[in-house]
Amino acid sequence: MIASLSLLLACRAPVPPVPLGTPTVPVQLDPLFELHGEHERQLLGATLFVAEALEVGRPALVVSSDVSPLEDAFVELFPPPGEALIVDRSGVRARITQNLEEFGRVSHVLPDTNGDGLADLVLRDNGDLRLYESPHPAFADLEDAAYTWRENDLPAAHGLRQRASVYPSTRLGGPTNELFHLDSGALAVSIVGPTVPAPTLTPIDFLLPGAFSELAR
Amino acid sequence: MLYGPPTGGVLVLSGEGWALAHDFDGIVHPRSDPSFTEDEALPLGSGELDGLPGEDVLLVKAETDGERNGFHIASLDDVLDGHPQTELVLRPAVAWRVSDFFQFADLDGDGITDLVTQVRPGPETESEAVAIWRGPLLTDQPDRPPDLVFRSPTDAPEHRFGGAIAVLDFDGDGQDELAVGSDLEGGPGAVYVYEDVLAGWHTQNPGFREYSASQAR
Repeated sequence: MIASLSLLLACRAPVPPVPLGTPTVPVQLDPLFELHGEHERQLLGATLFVAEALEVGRPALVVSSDVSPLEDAFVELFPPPGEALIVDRSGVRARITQNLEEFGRVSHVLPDTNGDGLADLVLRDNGDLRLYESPHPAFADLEDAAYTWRENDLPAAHGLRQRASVYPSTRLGGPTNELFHLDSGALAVSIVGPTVPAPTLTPIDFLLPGAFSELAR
Repeated sequence: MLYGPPTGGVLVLSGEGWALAHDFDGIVHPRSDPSFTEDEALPLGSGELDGLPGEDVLLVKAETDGERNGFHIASLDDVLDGHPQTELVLRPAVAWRVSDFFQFADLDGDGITDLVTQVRPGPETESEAVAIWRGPLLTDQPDRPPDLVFRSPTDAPEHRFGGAIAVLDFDGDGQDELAVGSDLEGGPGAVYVYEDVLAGWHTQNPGFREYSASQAR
């Protein structure tokens, strides 16, 4: 009887997790697919992020390439699921290029800046931050940026530089997103849409002096 | 660090320790704890991580000897009270150090947050790798090792494998895939996309869904 009860309990007991293999001995996995850069020092994959709603109901993978100063750096957007599987560059939906280093680094997806319900992109362009609004065709040219937060617009007294971090509006209880600029001297906040459309954006809406150090992603 | 707590305002990490800037009213409310300053603990993100009620803050903390580090998780309430006590520690093996780059994901489809991060070489290793801790991150072990560590297909050193990570259902099968950047690989760089990285873990733990659900309760 006791043995039967023990067996029953054992059958119903949850299965404890165990590590897969020995953690100190890494395994190698076969990738589903892989992309490779085309140029020396292209740094394909230096930045990867997912734009969840760049088109309605369709996420996309955003990949930056940080090539040498003599060639264009670019950001590529790959297709969402349901279309062609990403197996090579033929899957690129859009590419934004810029002849500067570090274009696309420290990039973020804004849930919505213009009230159309689609996510938008903020891409770093060296010291500037550029806002690109969806849908994708608008990303075809660098000059299509809806707004640019320029490094020179930041208060020099605080030594601010452009480092973006974006938080959804609900965190602060309002219908906006916030774009943060940070350096050792202060924390600056820019409010972006959808209730504040690009033409009315300003470099800085709030400034908090202090020795702030890091931005969470 | 910036964090938008549910009560409004933004939590920041200043040079003096923790601080709470409330609703951009210009008043910074200090929440200092000399034992937990930015010199030794870098806040990374927040979320429901340990399977217990209440939000948590994820930090990476170096050991005093500088040879080891790991993720520490503290409850948000404790952080806001100015006394962030480590609730649990996630550490790779001695030979690895966790990176400050990570993603939260649900790679096993159980609805509970998993932690994916780059791990960097230690004294006994050369190439970077990606480590996964399955959620809930609650553990009885003082040091919980990752459930999986995997290297790049080329397994070459200093390729920055895992320096960028994105999670997305690329092929539309309803399960997330993992995209991993390796931007120094071979010069041009590469991006690898993995499907069902925890497949081996699934095989070894057929009852994991029930176990995870019971842990989350």
